[in-house]
Amino acid sequence: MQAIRAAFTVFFLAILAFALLGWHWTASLPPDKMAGAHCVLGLAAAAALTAVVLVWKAKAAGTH
Amino acid sequence: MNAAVHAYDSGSTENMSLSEKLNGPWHEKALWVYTAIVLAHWSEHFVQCYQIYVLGWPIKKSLGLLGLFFPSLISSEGLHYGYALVMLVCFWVLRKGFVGRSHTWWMAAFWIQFWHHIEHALLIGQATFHHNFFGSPVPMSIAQLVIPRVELHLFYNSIVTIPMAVAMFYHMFPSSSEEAHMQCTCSRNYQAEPNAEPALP
Repeated sequence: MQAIRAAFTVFFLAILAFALLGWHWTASLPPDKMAGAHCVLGLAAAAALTAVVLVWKAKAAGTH
Repeated sequence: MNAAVHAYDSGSTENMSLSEKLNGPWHEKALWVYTAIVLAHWSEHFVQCYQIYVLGWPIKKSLGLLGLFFPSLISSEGLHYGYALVMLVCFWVLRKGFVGRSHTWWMAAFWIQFWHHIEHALLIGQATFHHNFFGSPVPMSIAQLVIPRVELHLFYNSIVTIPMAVAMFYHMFPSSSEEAHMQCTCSRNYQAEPNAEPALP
């Protein structure tokens, strides 16, 4: 279970990393575009973090 | 052991419909294939983001890895719409194999992908009829009015794939009650019975 958790976590963290890179890059866009980009990238980052928490909180059958 | 798993072990799947096979004994293999397609698509998005955010390439030239060799393919709305449609169909076709929490997350991903697919349908519609919305020089989706395209689709793909991946994780590690209702071999708790009959040729 731990290896699979780790694999899923790597994927979620990759999404998080690109969302953060995008956040930094879009800071130079015009204010209206920057706000829209930051809004969706922030949500993507939050979703990725939530997913990491969920897979590490999940318990295998028999341990509920 | 459930009937589908036993059928898989004994090789007696002839009487099952395609849907029953895809959501039963073939569910695990189908999900592996689907996951490979999704990850290949994601790798293209990651490469594109790397080209823009890290290498500083112009957006028009940042077409991912495939786009380096086939720029017109990546620029075409057909490929993007086709992928969105394939995802939507796979979500629907493979949904019955999921139970409990995994089914909830899988269907959440399906409905988000449904909207994502509508956006791509609008894009391919504009490209096909050479009539772009809002007087734009290029096809525009609705959300693109306020959000740049690269970030918007990074977002769409994230909020589709994340619940999909969570669904797969819960499907691989189901609770005891969820596992009792599963018709496939996806659970990591599943072990073929050592004395099961060998598969028929």
